[in-house]
Amino acid sequence: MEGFLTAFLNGLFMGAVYASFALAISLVFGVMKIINFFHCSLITAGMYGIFFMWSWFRLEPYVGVLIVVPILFLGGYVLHNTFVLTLFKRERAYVVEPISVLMLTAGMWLVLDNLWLLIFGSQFRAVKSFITGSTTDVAGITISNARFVAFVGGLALTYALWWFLNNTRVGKGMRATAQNREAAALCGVNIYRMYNLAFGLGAAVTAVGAALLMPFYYVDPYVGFSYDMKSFIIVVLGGMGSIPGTLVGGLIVGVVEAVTTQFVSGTYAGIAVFLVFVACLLFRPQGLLGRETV
Amino acid sequence: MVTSLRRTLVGISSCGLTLLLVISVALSGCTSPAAPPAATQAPGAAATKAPAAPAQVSEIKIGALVPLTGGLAELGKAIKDGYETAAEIVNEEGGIKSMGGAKLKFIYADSGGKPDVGVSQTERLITVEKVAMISGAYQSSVTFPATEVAERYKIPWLVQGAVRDDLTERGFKYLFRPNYKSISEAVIHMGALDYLMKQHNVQIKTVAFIYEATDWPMSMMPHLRRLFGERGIQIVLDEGIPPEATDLTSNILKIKNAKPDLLWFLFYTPQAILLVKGLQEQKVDTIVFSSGSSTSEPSFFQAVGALADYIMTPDEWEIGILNVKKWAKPIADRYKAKAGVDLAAFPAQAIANVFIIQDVLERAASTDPEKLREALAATKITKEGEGTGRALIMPWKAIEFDATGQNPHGGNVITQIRENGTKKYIVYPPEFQDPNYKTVFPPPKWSER
Repeated sequence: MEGFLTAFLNGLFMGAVYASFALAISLVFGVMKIINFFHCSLITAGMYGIFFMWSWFRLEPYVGVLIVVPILFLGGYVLHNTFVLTLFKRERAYVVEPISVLMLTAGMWLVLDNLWLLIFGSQFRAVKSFITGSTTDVAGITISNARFVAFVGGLALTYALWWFLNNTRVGKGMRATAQNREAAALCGVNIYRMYNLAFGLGAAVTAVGAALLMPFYYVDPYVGFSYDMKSFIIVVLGGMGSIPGTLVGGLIVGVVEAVTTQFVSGTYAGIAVFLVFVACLLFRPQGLLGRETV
Repeated sequence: MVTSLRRTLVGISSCGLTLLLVISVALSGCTSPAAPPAATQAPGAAATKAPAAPAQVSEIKIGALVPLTGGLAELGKAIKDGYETAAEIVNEEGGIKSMGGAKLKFIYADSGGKPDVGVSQTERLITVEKVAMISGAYQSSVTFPATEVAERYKIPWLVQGAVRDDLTERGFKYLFRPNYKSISEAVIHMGALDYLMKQHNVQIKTVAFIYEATDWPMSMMPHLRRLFGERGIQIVLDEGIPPEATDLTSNILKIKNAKPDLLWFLFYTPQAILLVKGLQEQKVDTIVFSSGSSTSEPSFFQAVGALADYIMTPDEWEIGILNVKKWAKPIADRYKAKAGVDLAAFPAQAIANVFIIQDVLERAASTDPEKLREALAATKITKEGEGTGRALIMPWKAIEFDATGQNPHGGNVITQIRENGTKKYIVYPPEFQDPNYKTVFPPPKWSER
């Protein structure tokens, strides 16, 4: 029973981390209706950022994040403005759905991942933070402090993003763009600027997720991929473009993964998440918290 | 209208997911060991007719296939330094005496760590450099297809490093492997377990296995299950992990609940890092054995540090062997002077291979590949220390080759990691055991570390 409860809690904690990485996908999809395949390269970049802040300047991940967030915001903004938006604008003149943008992001994923390999080498690196390995025992359950912080941080991050979208001028502009590009443009919203900002914001949010994860994880040039895979599932599960839905989706994926592992072997547990995903696509394609109409 | 748009979007996103899957499969296909190239390509006239050996030569060209660039470049350089050190020793002592003092000349070819490059470089060594025989290539994935080329040209190949089982199970006639197969590792490791149980009067009744459910661990698991079954040790957990797993905590909780006397893991470096960190977080107190190379990778120790302490791990060679094989100390010193670092497992095997090559050339007294093959097959090095007996710098009992070209006496050592993951002490076999080190078995509880 204690094992089950510990697994459940740990699933919740990991779920919050998954959600923090999925937020960017959800945001970018919500605003631009495109899927960003090089999101995993940004996750990896964020994790390397946190690692080098620690390795060079001995900045704890929770402090280093203050520097990595602006860097990733800028990086995301510039990458998007230079490559994605250029193609997006050209494409929009001909078709409704920008398919070639999808291909572009997939291409950039390969370029960036190999760039990380070239720059950072293939070895595995980990941060030895003050919180790494420390645990708290509550009623026979061992809780990793770093994971608990990641959980609280993930919830706070989701709330902050949700608040930003609902209460700030830029946030409202993003939502307007998400709901109807043409109408938003007619009302004076610079939609291309919104796209850039949404992309940069997504990258910045990813950097926060990386800081939450790094104290108990490692980084190598391909580390982002498995998290990216989960992000897509989470976003569809929770409802595309819905910020609270992303959190719910993340927590569900985390818990399903952790709890099923207690009953079946690890290889089968990998299937469980995808079964939930397929069931969701079949019976509630708009996602758990997604709305039928936008 | 809006609903249909929404449906389209869901459609696009699932298309996208499929695309992602397709790309990922394609990528993993690229990195997995390449299938051996089809041997249909006619290798030309040189293939069927071996180059005629001159009666008297002043220099004997030996090919060495080494990963000198790419991710394994550092290791490749160490291996090259190993070949060079031993070749210098042989040449200084008068070269190959049966061939009028001909000198060994190693020709290095860079595989870049890639199977396809390894294949083309092997072709180059044989057709352009016209080497008498080849040693290499550290990685199983490179050695597997490269040896096929050598077999086609009938050029003898002395394996260095590669442990993949089926390398010597293809009926090749020109392939010889002095080091052990991966399957022997399980047997040696079990020997260590038996020995430690007896020495420390510890009875292990239950074991938990955790492994990545991919090629290498899955091929080793049946043997481990059998070996433990023979000893009447109950397997309380047999947990395969998909390679893309991001978190092992749930699996570690299962280990904790199963309370095994012994935990045996077969992981590559990333999951080994997650496992060891998780064992500490969840305070799982048990004896830990590892299989594979993760616990030989410097980046593993950098990532986990003291958490790696007390793990029992297999190694092809350890510096502690010099405490027993004192005669090998000058060779190790000479290597250190050349390479700037202590002798390690894979350069040590390169050194061993050079002395085997010396032994073979002395007996063949020719560079004719057929004669070399015959001499290789008849190899019997049993006395360590003198002349070509220096090949036994490795912890092998002897060097001879069975019908498949495999040395049945290949072996390794089992070490215990200590001092914050910075040092390894040999605990098995007993003849190499560090006399000043007291094995800690079982390890102290996490709460007492």
